Amino acid sequence: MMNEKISALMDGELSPNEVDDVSDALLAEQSLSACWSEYHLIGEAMRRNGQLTLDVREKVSVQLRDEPTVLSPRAPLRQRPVRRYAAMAATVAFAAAVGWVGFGQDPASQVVVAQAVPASQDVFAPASGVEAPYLAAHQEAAGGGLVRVSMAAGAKVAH
Amino acid sequence: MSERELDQQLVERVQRGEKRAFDLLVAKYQKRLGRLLSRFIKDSADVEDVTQEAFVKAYRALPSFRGESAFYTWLYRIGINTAKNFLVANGRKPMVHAGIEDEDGETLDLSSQIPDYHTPEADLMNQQILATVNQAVEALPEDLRTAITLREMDGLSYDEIAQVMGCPIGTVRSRIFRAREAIATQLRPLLDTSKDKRW
Repeated sequence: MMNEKISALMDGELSPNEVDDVSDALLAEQSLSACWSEYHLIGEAMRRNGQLTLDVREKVSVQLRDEPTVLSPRAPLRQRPVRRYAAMAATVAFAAAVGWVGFGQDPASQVVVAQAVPASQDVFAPASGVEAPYLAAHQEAAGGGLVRVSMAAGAKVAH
Repeated sequence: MSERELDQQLVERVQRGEKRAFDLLVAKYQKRLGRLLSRFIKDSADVEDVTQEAFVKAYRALPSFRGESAFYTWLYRIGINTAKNFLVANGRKPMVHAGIEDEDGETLDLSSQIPDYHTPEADLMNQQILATVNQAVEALPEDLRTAITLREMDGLSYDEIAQVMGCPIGTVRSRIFRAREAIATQLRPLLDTSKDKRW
């Protein structure tokens, strides 16, 4: 039941994989956001908050309609690890596609990387079968050697 | 996911362009912020105006919010500064503040000596809401009343409540939800009849 999940959400007791879905529902359904407000009002009343009649939601909402939409230039923290490793995966994918590899001389590691990161794979997701820490360690072991790449057909660039 | 993490997630949604996520933060913190600002500002209408202004300022400043402090701490600082500016602009001296620590041990300046001033109508509504909630809580079955009291009054986590009450966490979650729904059922008629008034 969604209301029960909202109750758990407001207490910070919802599992991480449920938070997005419940938050989405809260933002989409007026009745659910009303439930969110009611449950918070109950808590404030139990704590004897003297400002129970204060309600600026509508006024703030109206005022924000005229405000430019804020966008943070910084990516949300929880996305950074994926983006960092996606960039590494992209580098490796290009290298595998073109064949110019300046990594360490271990043939086994070169084969593993090439197999795990096909050039056609969407580089915004970490390559399957390759652990991100492996890539990080491998990148370090390469000692910053030059990697010459060019755009293979169908390859995508990760920013 | 903790409350602080939830707030951070909502903030990130706003930072990605979802304005409506900010509505949820307003709903969550408006009365707490209002209570804080009422320590500085006497008139309830002014408290409401300054609370509104503080939220709008917070929205504008969100691109620079990095999550190094809890969202509510950051919001409270904006609120206090907004209140001080309001008092200065209206020719009133900012009150002398007593230091007080919040839940994270961060010190906020507060004056605890200023009484709240409400309009008679708002005061009556306030009392009605308090009375309705109190009566509804008293009418709850003991297990529901205990669970919601430990959560709302003592701030215990579900895990802690489960240990206190000797029941599974899932039972705690269910009891708290059922308690809230029971109380909300009593509150809704009161809130519906005052839709065009403040509540």
